[in-house]
Formats: sequence, C-alpha cells, structure tokens
Amino acid sequence: MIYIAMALYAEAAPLIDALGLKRRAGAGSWQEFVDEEQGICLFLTGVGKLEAAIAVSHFATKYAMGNDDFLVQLGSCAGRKIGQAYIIHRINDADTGRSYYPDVLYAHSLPEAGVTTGSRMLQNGVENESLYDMEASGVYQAAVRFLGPHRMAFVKVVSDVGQADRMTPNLLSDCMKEQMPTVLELLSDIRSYLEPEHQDLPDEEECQRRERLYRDMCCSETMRLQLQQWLEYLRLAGKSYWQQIDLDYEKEILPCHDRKAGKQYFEQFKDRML
Amino acid sequence: MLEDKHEVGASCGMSHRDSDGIEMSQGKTRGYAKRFSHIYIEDSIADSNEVHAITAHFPHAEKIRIHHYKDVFNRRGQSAETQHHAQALILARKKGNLIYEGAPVCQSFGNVYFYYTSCVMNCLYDCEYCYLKGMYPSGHMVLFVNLEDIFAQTEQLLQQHPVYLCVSYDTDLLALEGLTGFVQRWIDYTKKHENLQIEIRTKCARKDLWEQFDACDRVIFAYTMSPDRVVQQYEKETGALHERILAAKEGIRRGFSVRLCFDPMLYVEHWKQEYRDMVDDVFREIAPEQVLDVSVGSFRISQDYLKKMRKAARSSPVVQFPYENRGGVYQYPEKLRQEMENYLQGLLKEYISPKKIFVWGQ
Repeated sequence: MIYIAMALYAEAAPLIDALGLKRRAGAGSWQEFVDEEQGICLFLTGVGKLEAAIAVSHFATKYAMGNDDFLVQLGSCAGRKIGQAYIIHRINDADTGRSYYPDVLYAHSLPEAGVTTGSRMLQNGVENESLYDMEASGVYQAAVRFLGPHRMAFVKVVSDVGQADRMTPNLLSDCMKEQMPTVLELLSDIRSYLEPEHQDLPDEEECQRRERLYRDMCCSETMRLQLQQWLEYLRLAGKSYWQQIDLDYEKEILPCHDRKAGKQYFEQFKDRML
Repeated sequence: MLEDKHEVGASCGMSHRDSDGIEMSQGKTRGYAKRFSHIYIEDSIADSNEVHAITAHFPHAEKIRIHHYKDVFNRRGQSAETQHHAQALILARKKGNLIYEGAPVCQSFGNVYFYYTSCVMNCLYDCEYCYLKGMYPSGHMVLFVNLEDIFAQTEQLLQQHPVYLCVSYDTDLLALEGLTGFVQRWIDYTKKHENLQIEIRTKCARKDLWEQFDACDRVIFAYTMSPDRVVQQYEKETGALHERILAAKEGIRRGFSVRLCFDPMLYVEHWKQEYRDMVDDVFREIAPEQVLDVSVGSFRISQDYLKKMRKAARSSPVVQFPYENRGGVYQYPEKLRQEMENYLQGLLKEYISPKKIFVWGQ
C-alpha cells in the first residue's frame, strides 16, 4: 500500500480528485481517502510536526505499516521558486538541530532539495534558496519507527515565499492542482521502484507438509527450527527431499514413535541429503 | 569520468554480463536511481581536495552535506539489499582507532602481527554470501578520505614490530581504484616501509591497472577464485572466473606478488566437479611456482551476521544453508567441511607445494 500523508484538505483535494479516492467513514479524528484497488490511502495529518507525527503513528499502527508499504509525505512549503516541486533528501529540524535523511533510491525526474521543518509559520520570508515546512521532520521521526528510510518519500511544492498572511486555502489548492501531473508521474515512478522482486517462499501446501513432518518426527522446538532450516535450504537448492520422505512413510520409518527415534531419523536424513 | 554506474562497472572489470550497460545505466533494476546518484559529504571535509577529486567523477550527483557519516550510515531500519540497487556514496573522515587486529575467521597466512584496516566500508560488488550484509546497518558505501591518518597509525605500529596489514577486506579496493587511487597510494606507502606487508583482496578483473602500479613484493594482490557456477549464482557484478585468472596472470607476468584465495569454498550442486574444473582452469593459465601462496577455506561467518542476513535474503540457498554454529561461527557440518576442504587441498596439491597452501583453522 502507498500511504500519502498531507497536512490540509485544501492541499489534498486536487490529488483526491485526480486519483478518484473515496472518503473512508469512521476514521475517527482524522480524514482518510482510499482506493483499495490502486493500493492508495491518503490521510490528513493537520498542521505542524507534532500533529503530523501523531497522525502518522496512528495510521501506521492502525494498518500495521511495514516494509511492504511506502509512505509519501506530500505538501506545500515556503521557498523561492513558487510552483516548483522537490524531492527532499535532507530534513533539518529547526527546533532540535537534528537532520534526517530519507533514502532516494527510486528514479525520478524532479529536482532535489533539503527542507527545514519549523514549529511556526514564517512571517518574513525564506532565506536564500532554502525550503521551509512544518511537518516533514515529524513525519520522518514517526514513520521511521515503522518503515525504513528506503520506504518513504518527501515531496514538497513551493506555494509561497514564507509570508503567512498571503496564504489562503484557494491559493494552496491551486498550487497543488498545477503540480498534479508531476505528482502522478512521481507516484508512477515510486510504483515502479516498489515492484517486488521475486521472492521464492514456501507455499501453503509445503508449510502443511512440514508441519506434519515436525509432528511425525516428535520434534522439540529446537529440532523443529533446525529441521525447518534444512527443509528450507533443500527447497531453495532444488533438492527433491519429499520423495525420500514419502518413501520413508511408505516404509513406515515415519512417523517416529518417540523423540529419540525422531532425532535418529533427522541425523540420517541430513546425511542422505548432502 | 565515472558519471554513472555503467562506467563505474566498466572500470572495475565487471563481468561481461554487465558490459552492455543497458541495465547498469539506470540502476540494476528498473525503477531505481543510478549508483552514486547521491553523495553524502561530511561538513568537515566538504572543501578538501580529496572530496573535490571524487565528486568530479559524478557531476550530476546530488551532493548532500551531513554532519557525520553515521547520521546516514547508521539510520534505523535500512535495507542493505534494497540500497545495493541504487548505492549512495558517503564521503567521510575516519577518527579513532583505524587499525584492527585480524579477526579469528580470517586467514593470517602465518603472520604473527596480523591487522586489517577499512578505508572503505561496503563494496561495489554484491556477493550474496558477503558478511558485509550482516555486519553493516547500511548498503551504502562509506569512503574515508583521510588515508594519511591510517598511514600515521600504521607507522606507530611499525615502530613496534613488523606488520601484515589487510587493506581490502570490507570492500574491493581494486574495483574502486579509478575512483580513489587508494591502491596506488598503499603501494607507494608500503614501498617506503620495509617491515610492512599488505594484502589487497579482490574479485576485480581489471588488467589495465598493472600498467599504473610499480611492483613491490610486499604488496600482495590476493585474488578470490570461485567456480563459474558460484560467480554467476552468488557473486553478482564481479569479474568472471576466466577474467580474474587472466588479470592475476598478467600481474604475475609484470612481477607483482599474487596470492590465490580459494576461499570461501561453497557447497553447490556438483561441487567436486565445479572445483576441479576451476583449479584446472586456474593452473592452465597460471604457473603454480609463480604464485606466492594459496588459501583454502570453506564458508564461515559470525552468528550475528548470518542471523541478520537470513532475515534479508529469504530466497538465498547460500544464506539459508543449515550451517552449524561452532563457537559463535556458523560453518558447514564438520563432516562436510572436512570433505570439501580436503578435496580442494588434494586438487591444489596436484599443482602446488603443500608448503604454499594455507588452510583456515589449521
């Protein structure tokens, strides 16, 4: 699942429309918009790093986010180049002085930058070429408890130059709307990055047969773990171990009548398999 | 210029599998950024000549300033496996103790004063069984630019006794030579210190580098030799066996000290035939009497490293093999270990004096 964390509805509305997301009822204190088929869940965090961290923690816990998932923090920021979207490779927390570095392992076509996260809205404009937001460090600190730094992306769109009184919900919404093609392309890039590599894992039938074998060899917990390691190796190495085991069932060597016999059988099994 | 991963690959003598550059130019896998598209640089060295020289190879990379390399390298929850698809480079200054005593799982070749150092952490190559995947929290590569500080600490040791120093354990320095020039600097340094002997372990198949180096009999180039099946299955991006053999042969021809490491020996299907073919291939090209020595050792790894690797590489037969834990080191079952190592020693003895064969643990 790709989770998208955004601060305000005004920022999120263009993306909710573009992706055709539906509001999920009963999301408690937060607003949540989903499309299960696309595997996208967008939630609103509210403004500020503490609000953002609380919301991310809530949704990460609720959906048991892990390294099969990906979190995008998308939102506006202050900067010089209004309308420009950036991938963030460094997040500075203005309050603590600490920096965080989300991995940027995915190919993308946006410029990259660092962002400074502060607790107050800027009043007097940004300095130099820096970006300024109010959520990124909170999102990172909360998310990294659930996801690795390779499973998150921070995307910032410059909406203003950091003079608070000039920002309105409509301006925010329009700014994000203009960036929709860019954002959709980025989501596509991230999907491409997320395509799982083939993992050769045991299927259900294999697991069931193993469970029976553990029982029939009267395995202790330790022996069960050892046997599991052996069977997994043999499977990955393409060895046809079940033929031998089935033959032992036919010969009534299996099931073993007690743990001692099970141990003896295991030793013979290991010798035969290498 | 080494602007992208393909060029890095080409300069490292990577195997023919990668030479078309189609896969290599955009990360190993679709969807990934290029290798070294991101370079993290510690603030304290950002203006150094060393950093400028290295980053000049990557004009299009994002250069990101950091306070300390551990701020990136030691982050929580990283996936070395995923990061290897789009490896970042971290440029740092190493502090504290820079020289370590040789680890028990490593072959000392009879040297009493056996040490190693890590001027680079992590490797361009992606060997499935490599202990680095279990040892480090990150798959990104850290390059310590202050080689002179390592030289200074080596100097202190040399004042006490002779030193045998392995400088390419936690990376493959030869593969990085186009980027770092570290091998050249180590050779120059070693030539000036008569009681220093260094070993440069490698799977790199570059032959052109020999022209750049001056031979010194106290600089040992140690080639890991693995059967073709092992190279193809488990040693991703490394030089093919035949290419490694030719590189070693060329080194010998030019008067360099060459060691052959048949280590780690892996249990693979038809392993006896695989290892026989490999040994025959090696000595068909290389005159045994011209080899400094050879080492033999079956795969072994610290229990902590393997535990971590097993979680990450669920589909890897070499990682998931049911090794036995003996004294905190996972190894092949004793009977198999002895059979494998004895068999390989037997093959080697057909070509080379037993005095020149070093077996780990003996």
